[in-house]
Amino acid sequence: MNLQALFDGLFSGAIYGLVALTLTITYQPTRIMNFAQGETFVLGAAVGFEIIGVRKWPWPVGLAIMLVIAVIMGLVMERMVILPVQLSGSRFAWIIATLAAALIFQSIFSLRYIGDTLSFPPLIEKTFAVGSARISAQQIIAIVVSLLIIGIYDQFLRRTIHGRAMRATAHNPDTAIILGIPTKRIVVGAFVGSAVLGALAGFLWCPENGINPATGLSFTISGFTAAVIGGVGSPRGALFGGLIVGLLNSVAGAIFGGIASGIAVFVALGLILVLKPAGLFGKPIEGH
Amino acid sequence: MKSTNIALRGLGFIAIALVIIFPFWVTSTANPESYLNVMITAGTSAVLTLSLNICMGYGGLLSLAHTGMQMMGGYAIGLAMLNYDIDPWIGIFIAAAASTLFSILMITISLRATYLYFGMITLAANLIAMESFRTALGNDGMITELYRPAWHGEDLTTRQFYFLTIGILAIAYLIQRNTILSGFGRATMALRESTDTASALGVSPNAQRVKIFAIAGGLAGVAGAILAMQGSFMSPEIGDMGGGLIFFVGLFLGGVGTLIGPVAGVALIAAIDFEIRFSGAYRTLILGALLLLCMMVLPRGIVGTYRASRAGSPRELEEEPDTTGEEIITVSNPVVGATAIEAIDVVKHFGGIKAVDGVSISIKSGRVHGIIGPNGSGKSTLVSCLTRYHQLTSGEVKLFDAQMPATPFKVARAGVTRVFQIPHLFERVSVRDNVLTGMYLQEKYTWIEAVLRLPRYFITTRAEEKQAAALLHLVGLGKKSEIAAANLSHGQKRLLEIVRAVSARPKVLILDEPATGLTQGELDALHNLILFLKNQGLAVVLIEHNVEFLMGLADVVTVLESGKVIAEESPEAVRNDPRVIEAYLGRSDISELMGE
Amino acid sequence: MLLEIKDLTVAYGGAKALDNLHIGIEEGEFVVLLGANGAGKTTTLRSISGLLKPASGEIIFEGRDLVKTQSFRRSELGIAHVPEGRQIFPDHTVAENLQLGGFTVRRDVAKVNSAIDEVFQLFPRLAERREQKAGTLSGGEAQMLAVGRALMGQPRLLMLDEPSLGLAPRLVIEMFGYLKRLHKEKGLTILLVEQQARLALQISQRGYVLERGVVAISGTSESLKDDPAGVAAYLGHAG
Repeated sequence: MNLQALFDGLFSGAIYGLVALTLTITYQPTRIMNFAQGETFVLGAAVGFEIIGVRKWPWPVGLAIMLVIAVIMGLVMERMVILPVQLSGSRFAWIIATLAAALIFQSIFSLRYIGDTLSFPPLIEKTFAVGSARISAQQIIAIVVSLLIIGIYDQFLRRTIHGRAMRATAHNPDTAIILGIPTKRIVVGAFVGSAVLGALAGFLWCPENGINPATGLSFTISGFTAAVIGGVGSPRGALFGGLIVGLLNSVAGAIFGGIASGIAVFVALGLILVLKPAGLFGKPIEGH
Repeated sequence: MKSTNIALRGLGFIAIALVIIFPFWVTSTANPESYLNVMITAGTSAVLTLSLNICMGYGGLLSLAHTGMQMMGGYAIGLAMLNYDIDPWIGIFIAAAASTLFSILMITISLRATYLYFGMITLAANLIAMESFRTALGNDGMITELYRPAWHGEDLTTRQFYFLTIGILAIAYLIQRNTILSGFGRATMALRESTDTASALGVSPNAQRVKIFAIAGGLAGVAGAILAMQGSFMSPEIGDMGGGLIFFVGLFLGGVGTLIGPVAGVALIAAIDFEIRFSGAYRTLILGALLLLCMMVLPRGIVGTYRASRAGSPRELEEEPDTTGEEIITVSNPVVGATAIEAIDVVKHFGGIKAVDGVSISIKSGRVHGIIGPNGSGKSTLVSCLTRYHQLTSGEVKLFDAQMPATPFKVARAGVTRVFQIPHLFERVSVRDNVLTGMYLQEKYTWIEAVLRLPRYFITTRAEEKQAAALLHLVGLGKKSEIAAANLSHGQKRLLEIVRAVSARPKVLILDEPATGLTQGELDALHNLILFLKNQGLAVVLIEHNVEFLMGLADVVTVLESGKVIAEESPEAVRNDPRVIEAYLGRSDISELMGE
Repeated sequence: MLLEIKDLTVAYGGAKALDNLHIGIEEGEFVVLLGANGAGKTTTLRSISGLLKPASGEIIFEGRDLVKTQSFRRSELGIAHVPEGRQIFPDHTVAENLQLGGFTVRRDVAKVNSAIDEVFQLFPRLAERREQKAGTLSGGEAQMLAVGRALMGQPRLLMLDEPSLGLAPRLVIEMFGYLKRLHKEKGLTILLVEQQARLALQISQRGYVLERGVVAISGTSESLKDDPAGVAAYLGHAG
């Protein structure tokens, strides 16, 4: 067993799990799978690159600025997606709107960071050797933070009144409204929350692997694959799905080489869809 | 013909004329090649957008793999000519075949997937395909030195290639049009509106989806072949979703699910694109913003908005079309009194709820069989069990002494049609086309015959249209045959749905609460229609709340309560049966029970 | 008048579900809404709680036009709606369902807890199932939970949509007994939509029979009970 592949897989898996969680958060109250979610990931990377990498400001400042911009991006994205969906009435509206939003953000990032690889120094520059394999402090931090966030969100959904109201809205929006639950605000909150967490995922990822500013969509896909494998709607499913995708990617890549990693994940996705369409932890999701 | 139609037709001729004289017109400019290339690119985009329109607009299948299908076609022709020295003329067909195969593979994997997953799987397949070419071919997947086909020993000039592209676009348009305006196309659109309704008309959902996706794939492959020959290279980036945005914008701007919309939309986009061509990276930004704006301001697109407007939509006819001499046949080979459906001890549980709890029922040809019962007593569940929309928990259903087929569309093919409680009309198409959709099962011509417009297509269509006119005349909708079904009143829609159902010439017709919300006049029309069908020898099952309506029609009435049959008797007996009144109104001796 | 509906018209794509409907309920009254399927009963309730937007007309609740009030604010005003088919949240426990019923008063923990206790007093069987997932409840218990959840926000008006649906006769009687108690003992104003006309007329004070979106007959429950025309309209004999 290749230990290095295991470490790398755990790291990318935890991040994919976080992206899967953000997709789940907006999906639940809206039934919209947000194609632009990966752009929040790029936002986190871009702010880190600009503030910490280029301007050399301290980490906490970068983090704070990133959070503020992510909130704004969440608010903007909610309008960009929900408004066309409401006005259009087409059954494809959500996918076209989120795709358009994704490409708009993508071109903004590409224009601003033309030719740049978004990367910046980690919080702690330290690497541990385990046998022949190495794991960096940044990777450990990313894994721990992702696990914590997914755990906290899981508890939020189960234990707080707002979390329960969110689940209720996902299950039956009409009934939620007659109980006085402000479902529209929940939708706005979901977009903002998932933008913040998506940006955080990018922020944690980039010190380890720099990204091209135009790759947001591929992170959306990885996150979606993770969400489907784990079961859309369940934070635990997001985590396990993320880990499966991350590990399959790195282990299959290490054993069989580059092209196998993508195909392995695709095969896993196909198997899950055929054998257990609701995902490992999920309930069946309704079509549009 | 209306004057607006004449004006539009004139506009169309002018557009075609402009496209033809364009190459001669630009020869005088400094760089005619670049103008021609812009037009060739636009033509290719239009072919791809037509393909997208077929699968998304008409088939309701979300495809995020269209750029990938195009890339597949491009690689197929490219590799064929580089590695096997195959003539590009043949290469175009190889390209179509390759991306047809690719699309069939994709849809076969994802048939079980719901709508959302389906789109995502196509997107994932797209990325995998890109990645595979990049890794497998070396040089980042780039292949170069592709060439154009030859004519009389010489490679086509750009001007000739321009005409080739325009010709292919014209053929693609005709394939789309002839496909959509045929039984095949109507079945596709039925499936887009509702899988259940399409199945009830005998359309096999999976087979139809595979076919429509394959056609879309073939067209996309041809677009890829032109692209490869025009640029003389192919690379994985051609498959990139970002580049595919232009097709979505074109489709939505022109009008999803309209015949000419995709071409009009792409033409407009090409013009805009030409204006902003030097803005480089701003291009995606502008196209993306345009797409969002278009969804908000023009949700139906240019052509769709026009069609929905007063000027663009057909009017009612001045007088009822003459249908004398056309015999109305709504049922094939009736045997009055024979047992059509025999259900024995049918049980259906949902979790712990016994929705149908041991029901036996026998339905006979040439009779109207009423089913009544309070809300939640299991009426709709029972007919869903009979027609296989639900799997039985236990029990047996027979159709003319044979086992009832196992899937809804096979049940329909065996001669059992149902009309659902909630109206499922195809609202955007004309009243007549709704009826024609119902005739799907009788159409013997193939897709190829429809596309090539061979004689059998014309003979069948002419007969169908006559029969449709006669059926519409029967229920008084003759004048309205051209208008969109959405413009009918609620009662007219119900009548049309029943006409659509019987146009398939079934042996058994199941109606779920057809009288709800009808006016008195519409009730009378419905009454007469059901009587007519019964007299033709059809077995009619009528679920109804309106007991008065049922009285004049039903030969026998089955009363359900809590999933069980509590009575089966004549309508007169039902009316005075205390058990029935109790089931509907609650018990009359309640005050004692409540401790008063 | 606690609730007054004036000239209410609701249309679904051209077809009018309600056609200039007039209905009024006094404070403390128990009113029943009868009618055949598709007569507009459920539409009326959904318009009051804001799930449907009327084409025209007014819904005056305590002098305030609800049509101009956002849907989710109406429960704060004291309107509780027990929807058709109960619509409890199956993945939430019984206690969580009740807690969600008290969403509008969530900041007052003591109030929420005392409201939960009150519901448990009314429906002792729910107390036994407190921590159970609501999806595991039987039909009768689920209906109790739906009513209990609606009571959590201390409503001024309780609307119920066919609480008897799918319940065995004994349970229907039990349920109606609870409704009667709520009305008599707590003075709650109740608007009940029912199929089981005779039973509903037993426990209510006044009734309306709807037919194709308009009031066909109205009067005291006593007078409607023995009116053959009313029963006939109900079975769809009229028209």
